[in-house]
Amino acid sequence: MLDYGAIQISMREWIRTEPATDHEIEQASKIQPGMYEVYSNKLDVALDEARTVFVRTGVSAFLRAGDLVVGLHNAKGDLVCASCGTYIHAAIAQLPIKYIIDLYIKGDSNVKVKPGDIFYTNEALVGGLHNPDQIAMMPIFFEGELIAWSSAAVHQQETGAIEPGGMPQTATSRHDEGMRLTPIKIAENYEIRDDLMDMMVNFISRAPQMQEIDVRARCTATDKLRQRVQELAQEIGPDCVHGLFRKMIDAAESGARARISSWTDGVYRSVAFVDTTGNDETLLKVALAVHKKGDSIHLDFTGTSPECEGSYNTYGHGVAAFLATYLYPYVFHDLPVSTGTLTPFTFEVPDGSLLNAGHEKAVCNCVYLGRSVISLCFDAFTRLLYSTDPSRAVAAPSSHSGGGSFKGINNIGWPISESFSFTLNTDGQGARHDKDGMNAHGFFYSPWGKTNNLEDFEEHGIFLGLTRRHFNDAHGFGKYRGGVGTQNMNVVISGPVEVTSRGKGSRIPHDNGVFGGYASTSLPGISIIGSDALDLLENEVDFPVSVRELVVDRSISGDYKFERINRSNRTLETGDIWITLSSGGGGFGDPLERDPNSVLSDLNNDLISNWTARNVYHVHIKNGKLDLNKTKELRSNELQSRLHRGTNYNDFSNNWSKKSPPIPVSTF
Amino acid sequence: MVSVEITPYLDINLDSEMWVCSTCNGDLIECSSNYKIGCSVAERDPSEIHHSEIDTDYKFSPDSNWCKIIEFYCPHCGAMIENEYLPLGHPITHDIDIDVDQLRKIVSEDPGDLRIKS
Repeated sequence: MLDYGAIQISMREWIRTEPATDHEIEQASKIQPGMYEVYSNKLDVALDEARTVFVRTGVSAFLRAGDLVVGLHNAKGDLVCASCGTYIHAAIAQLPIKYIIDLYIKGDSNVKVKPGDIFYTNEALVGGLHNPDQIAMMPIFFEGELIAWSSAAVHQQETGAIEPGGMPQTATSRHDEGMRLTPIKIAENYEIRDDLMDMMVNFISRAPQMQEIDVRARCTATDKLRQRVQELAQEIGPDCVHGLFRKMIDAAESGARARISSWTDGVYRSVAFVDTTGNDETLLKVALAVHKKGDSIHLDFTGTSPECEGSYNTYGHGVAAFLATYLYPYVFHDLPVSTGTLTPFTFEVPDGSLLNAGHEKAVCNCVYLGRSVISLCFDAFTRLLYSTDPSRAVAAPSSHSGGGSFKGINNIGWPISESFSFTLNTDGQGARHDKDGMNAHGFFYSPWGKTNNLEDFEEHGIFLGLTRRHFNDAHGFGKYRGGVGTQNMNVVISGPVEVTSRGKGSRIPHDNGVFGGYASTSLPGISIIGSDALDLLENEVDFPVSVRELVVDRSISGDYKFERINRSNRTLETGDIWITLSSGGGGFGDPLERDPNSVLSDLNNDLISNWTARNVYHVHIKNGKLDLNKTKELRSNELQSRLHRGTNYNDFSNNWSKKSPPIPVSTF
Repeated sequence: MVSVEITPYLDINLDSEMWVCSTCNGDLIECSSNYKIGCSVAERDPSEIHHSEIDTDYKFSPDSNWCKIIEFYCPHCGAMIENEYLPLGHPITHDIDIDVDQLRKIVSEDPGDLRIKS
């Protein structure tokens, strides 16, 4: 019988590297100068090859966008290196492998691990984050000895849950989330089993072809890497492979510890607030204190709200995955993607909190809660890093955007369940210490991913894209501004189609700016029901392609709806318009210090409004021309206004502490 | 005087053990305290910063019933040192809590990448 409590404890322990054996240490010491560089690079190339195979053999939007990972693990399951894709699975793909080792190699089970096997799971409790994450894992044998594992993971849009799209906003328990497979042996003797494939396709009957093709893509990627590792073992011998793996993990750890040692000791804190459980409005808190001492870091999430009744919860091991998503692209971008880099980190995550929910809780929207954790990491670590390494100090990227999914019948008659990938992959990056954040830089869970082309999206024959462009004024302002997000407006040309959208922050944002930079703004979920857009297009009547202009101008007629950005499943008909928005990153530094020429440039590029130039940046622009003298006067006046506006801390606190929001912050 | 740059707007003066505004060199408060206690503090309505063309329940700016922007200024020169978006009444975050003794030790032994102002 599954012991859920024991599994949850094991998962948090298995994040860490398994102790090195004497054999590994001995073999690592025999790696000659030059060998390490040549063969570790060879493994990186093999991983990149497997990732390319993965992308080219799959079909769903996440997969085609490259939001995936292929991992190479040692025989004990620890991640040696990976090719990303998304870093989020890099930290946790080893967990289901350790689960398999614990149960089926060390344990007393009639399931055995043999050459040619491929295991498959999407159970978040044993290592994914939520059940859209499907992972294939393949043991790699050489001359009868288990020497390694390969893994391939990517988010699948459909899970057979109570709503299409895999992340139902109305889920309140695991029983609403659809298929959840603990690791099964989907392939034996290098062949995928038809019975288990049929079982999965039956679960995912909203998009059966996509499920089957993408399962095969995962398995193909693991098998491609298996071939390359066996070739390496043939070339250098299995003992040398063990030594190489050990050395790679140890190099990652020593590199991480050396970097951490150079930072300033102290405690760095941040808080973020989540205004939805999925189905309802609420006020949840995520708190982080980063305790940095010497070459180690302890992350304490005490103060985080209790688990909620919706689906914005995560299991405890998810915290490491969210941390990895921040660390690898920004702080450890020049270190290996390996379990070794996470070894200096320890975690304190209160039991029963949002970040360490019980096994019955719904976690399908955990990635939006995770976005809060990641924002906190940007916020706290930037304060930690600035004094010694400002080049790595970055404000939080956009984290409450409204990507979503749709379910319909495509132009060749297939039922499909797909993602509004453009919005997801065009968030704005946070501002940096010496430059603006990158506009529409991508999906921060997957910095290597790319948004799909409009043609790929329209090819389904369900939507016609009306707008895909930068979304002005939604980013965080500052001396350096956050990267700008996007607006994505689509009209249904072949209804009905079921849609949903996800996100948070329509009441309170938390893509914090740093050092006086502002956060990005809140966003609504907008749709236009019964629009005449198709008639206007047919008659070649022009209309605004800016959402901000359109909601004022209303030259497309219809019923304009303004809701929370996360909207539960509903059906759209032909002519209805569905709008998704991605916000921008947080700002960096006092907006009064922004170069007035940059403000003018932003205005000319339609990234900010006249209102923002005047009221936030206090820059005087008239008839498209910058008046520097007037700007200097305006900014001097604003500095004086601040001094008049501000009060001393104690007076402020006395007044502030008497106020309360409409919903109290959820606490234990 | 030995000061260490901690943020673009804050130094720690290791002689006086004070948080110092790096824009005007004005003292804020002892560096063992939250620097925000030494700041001039203002509550701003989110609509003062985030413009919304619509005034529906959900709009293009945060809900001012749910949160405010708290701004922390240097009381001497008005530079904005930091801001926070907080639910009404929520305690202010003590975001930077440096181990000053360790900082002093590192500065005296091997400051590495720290930026020292003498």
